Amino acid sequence: MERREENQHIIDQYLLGQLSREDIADFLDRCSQDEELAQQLADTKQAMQAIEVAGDQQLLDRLQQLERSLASEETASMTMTAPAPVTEVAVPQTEAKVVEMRPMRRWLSIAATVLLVIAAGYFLLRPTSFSNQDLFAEAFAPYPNTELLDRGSADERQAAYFAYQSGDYEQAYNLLAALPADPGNSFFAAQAALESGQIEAAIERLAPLAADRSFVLREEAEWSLALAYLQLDRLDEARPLLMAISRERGHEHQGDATTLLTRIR
Amino acid sequence: MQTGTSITDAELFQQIKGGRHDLIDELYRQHRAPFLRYATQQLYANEEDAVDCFQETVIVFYKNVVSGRLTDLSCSIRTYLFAVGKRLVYKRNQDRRREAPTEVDDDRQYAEELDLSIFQRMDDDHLRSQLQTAIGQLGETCRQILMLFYYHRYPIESVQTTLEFSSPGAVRIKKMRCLDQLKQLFTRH
Repeated sequence: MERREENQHIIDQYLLGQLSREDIADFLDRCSQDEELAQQLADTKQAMQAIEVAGDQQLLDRLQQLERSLASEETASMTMTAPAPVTEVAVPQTEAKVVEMRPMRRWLSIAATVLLVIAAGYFLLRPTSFSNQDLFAEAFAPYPNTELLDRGSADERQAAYFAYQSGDYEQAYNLLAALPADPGNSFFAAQAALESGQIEAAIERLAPLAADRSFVLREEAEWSLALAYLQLDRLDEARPLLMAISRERGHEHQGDATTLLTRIR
Repeated sequence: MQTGTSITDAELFQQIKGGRHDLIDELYRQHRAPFLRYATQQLYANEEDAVDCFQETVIVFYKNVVSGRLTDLSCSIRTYLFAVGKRLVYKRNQDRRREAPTEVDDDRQYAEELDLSIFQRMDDDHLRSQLQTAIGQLGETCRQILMLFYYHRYPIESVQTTLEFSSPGAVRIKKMRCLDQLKQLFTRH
């Protein structure tokens, strides 16, 4: 029993991610030699799967209940402020009349369609040349403000994000750059810098964020950085970055990067 | 970082990390309306999908915090939630085929992108119901011990205090027995 308990302790540590790399290697090595331990691990894994399903469901039930109460509060407040209902006015339904086209008109309409297709083909297929700056302008859109979406007290942070949200990117950059340089603020400062044409400043902020795999907006930062390089014609830096993005399965901008690579001169 | 209401992000983060799982209600209340606006207006989600995705997002956030995957807040909680929620909405949109997928989109595997092990997604309904049935057949104390220890990641000492056991050793023994019971229930089904 004591051995089983000891084993369970290390199995728990392994499954809960509390072992060091070395200890993991030792543990797995032991498992490969000890059938009983391997079985105990498999059983615990299955138990944890059941616990996780039940735990997720419990949290989901809790949030769904909360959602119902919030939704009914909203409905109640809307009912109190709703204007008096407008009486529906009956609109007489008339049947559409079908008129047959005369042969001459039909030929004219076919000719017009052919002309339209030729014209559209010319405009779509004619050789176009886009500068890197055009491509940047086409591909870049500042990330939506997800830091502050509600108006609150007029502190510096609020003011900075309010300027960002209002589209005053130059002001937003100045205010965001003055805030504590945590990754969140730095990311939005870079977005504001890109939008207001301060590309070098944006690159300076984006480079470390794009390399930080723990940063939740890392993929956005990487994409913005590639676009910033493109804007400055720094193709030696833009291209490899875009290639890396296009190769990263599931990257948020994998498709965008693939397309953009085909359009860079 | 301040979110504009009484409790700051840092406080909320620390308290959830410290075992206050009830605070996900607070998290939900604080960010629900802005997320629903964002998802419906900018990501073209319908109301129902936006709500579902937000609930999943909050659970993902919670599990990342307690499992130690998310150790520090490098941006506001809202930015984190929006970044995760956005991907869930994209996946939902794709599932519904609302957006005509491009050739590249077809190749994108949102499931892989999101590490869905974080949110236990089980396509096999039969297995899911078997697992849930087994858990449902455990006694209340066993369920609580296993849930607190394995799901909410409470240390043994915290399980002891929460469930008023006499010692950490007593919790360990009970936990072992509960685990054995659960394993036996699997073999029966």
